[in-house]
Amino acid sequence: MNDAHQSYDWISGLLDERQESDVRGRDISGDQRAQREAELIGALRSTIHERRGALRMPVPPALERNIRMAIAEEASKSVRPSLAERLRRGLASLAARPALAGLSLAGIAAVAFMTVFMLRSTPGLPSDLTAAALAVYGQVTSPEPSVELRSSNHSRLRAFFAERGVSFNVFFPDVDAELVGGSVRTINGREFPVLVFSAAGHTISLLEVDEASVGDRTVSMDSQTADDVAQSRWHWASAENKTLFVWKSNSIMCSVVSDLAVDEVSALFRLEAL
Amino acid sequence: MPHMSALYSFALRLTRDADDAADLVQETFLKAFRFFDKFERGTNCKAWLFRILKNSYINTFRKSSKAPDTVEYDVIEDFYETIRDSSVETSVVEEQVFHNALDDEVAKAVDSLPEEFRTVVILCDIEGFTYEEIAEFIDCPIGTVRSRLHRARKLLAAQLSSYAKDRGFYVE
Repeated sequence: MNDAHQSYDWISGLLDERQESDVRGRDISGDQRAQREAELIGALRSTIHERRGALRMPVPPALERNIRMAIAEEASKSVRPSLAERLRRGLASLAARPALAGLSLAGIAAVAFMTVFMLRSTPGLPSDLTAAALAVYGQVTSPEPSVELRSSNHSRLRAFFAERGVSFNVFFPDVDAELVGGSVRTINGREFPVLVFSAAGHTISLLEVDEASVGDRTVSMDSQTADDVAQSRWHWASAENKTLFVWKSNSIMCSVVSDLAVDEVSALFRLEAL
Repeated sequence: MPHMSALYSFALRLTRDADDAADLVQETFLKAFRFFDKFERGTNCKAWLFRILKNSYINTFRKSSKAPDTVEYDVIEDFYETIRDSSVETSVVEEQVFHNALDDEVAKAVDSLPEEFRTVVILCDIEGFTYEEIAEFIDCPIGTVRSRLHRARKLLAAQLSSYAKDRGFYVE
């Protein structure tokens, strides 16, 4: 190998301030070719460094919201175990208590029933609004859908929500879908209403949260959702065949989730007109 | 969301398709969320995310990549040998030539590199990873990182010089 074909890759190491033995303290003053190569690579390196910003591709606006939604959905799965899992855990915790050891079979069955009843009647949701909305959708579309009051009558539903501890006036949106019924879900110990709709065989869940509960951080919203709702009037995201819309109607944050496409949900709830 | 822009840019340069890049970044963040307990606190989070992205790319996307690299390594070697000699003989004021390069030209030159060269130059010169982090990323010795990086830079230099010539900005 003649000199012209000698490897000069140590020049890059020198410019990058590497400390390898063949680089450290290397003197190129007597090597004209090394000097030229150092100038060339040095100039190129500076150019790339200067253009770092321009070389970064703009991130599609929907990507971050879709990722947040996918993560929220993941979080909602991990936060809220299935009914079967909660039943298993409930029974396991009962069995683990020595004080219950002396109870009769009927007594254990009664306590187990109460445990299951309590688990069913006070299903806690994650405090993040997106994760909570996705968890609600998972519940109403599960093989054992939990719609506590099946009715399309607004007055009946209002009375049901008030009786179950919802502290604000529930909003019934004008939607091109059949109102199936409603449920109450708990976030950080506070009750919130869920409306369930059906359209062309698709289920749509609507979780409502009053602005005060967001203000006092009972329910949290990520900054992008909050900004979108404040600035653009609604926030949407889609991931894993689910669509989420969040918007504010007067003082109520509405979070809709469905397996319908973005434009279909938007049309059903007439979000374009907001 | 941390490092999203860097991850998306890298994903786009790997897949060369916007939808694939978005899917790859989404998968990366989901896996990071799922396996966050595996992340060693105090280590480089960006490097960890890039490793997840690379593994996802290899496992899922590479097979179906819409524009796989087709440049043979020998061809690059030959090209490298020719520019290595010619660049030494020239009296170009490189700094000025490269400084005048358009952003699009720099991006095009980076994109024109074969994957193994493109990866090291992006990781080192755009994303600021150390040789050690790159070596772990591409599963090669540090010497290979340096060698590939140097060759990648020379290929870029040749490409930018060529663009400058085409635009009449070449100073001789």
